[in-house]
Amino acid sequence: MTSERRVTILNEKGLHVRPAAAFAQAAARFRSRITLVRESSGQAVNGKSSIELLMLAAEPGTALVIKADGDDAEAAVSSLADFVGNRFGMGDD
Amino acid sequence: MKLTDVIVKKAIVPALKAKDKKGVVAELVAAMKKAYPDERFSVGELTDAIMEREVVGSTGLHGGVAIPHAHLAGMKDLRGAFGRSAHPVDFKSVDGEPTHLFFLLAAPESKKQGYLEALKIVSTAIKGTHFCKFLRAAKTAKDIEDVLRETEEIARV
Repeated sequence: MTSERRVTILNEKGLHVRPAAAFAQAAARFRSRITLVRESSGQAVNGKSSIELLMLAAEPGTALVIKADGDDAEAAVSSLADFVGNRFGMGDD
Repeated sequence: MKLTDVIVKKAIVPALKAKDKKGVVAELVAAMKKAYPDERFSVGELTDAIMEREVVGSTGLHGGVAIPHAHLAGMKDLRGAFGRSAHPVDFKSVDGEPTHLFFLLAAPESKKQGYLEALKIVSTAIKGTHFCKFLRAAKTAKDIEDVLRETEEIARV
């Protein structure tokens, strides 16, 4: 089962170290393979790797696509998209 | 932007003495203070700023690497330091594993874009084949600087 959703980075500082670590931790709770894709370039990274997420250098306003592949894909994409929309649960950090 | 522009040789600590998280941060900030005499921050001020941010969330990432950092109004430019520890340090990392390699960054409030670019350079290097292995094997600060520089050359190809 696959699922995907487009999200926009809202944090003032972009997808920096702490949001990347928080996202990787949140993604690790799902069995599905999680991929984050930078919409403009197609650059794709493993959503469960904090280091790979930093390689996106996603500034505020960047459009990303969250993709999941696995038996909990739909729940994963829904939860992770909300997490990004909620500024990774860390306000303006 | 190049890794060796952000982390100069004087800001490389091949064998950290500190055993705990705050000690490692303070030791690297002290190295940074010596390496960039133009910057007027105090060691205590920058250490506190970084540790305050660590409470919000640890910068200990996967694979034994941490990227502690802070934005500080008084900084003139984006500055970095690198430290290596022979003993494991509990950095409260994402994967719960101990940390050995530390990339510390400090940036002026105005340089948010440059900061993301620096993170991209560091993370891309870390994901590169053998980068962390070479960093662990390097003997001196000069050897570590060579590893950082070689990564830049590979990245340009």
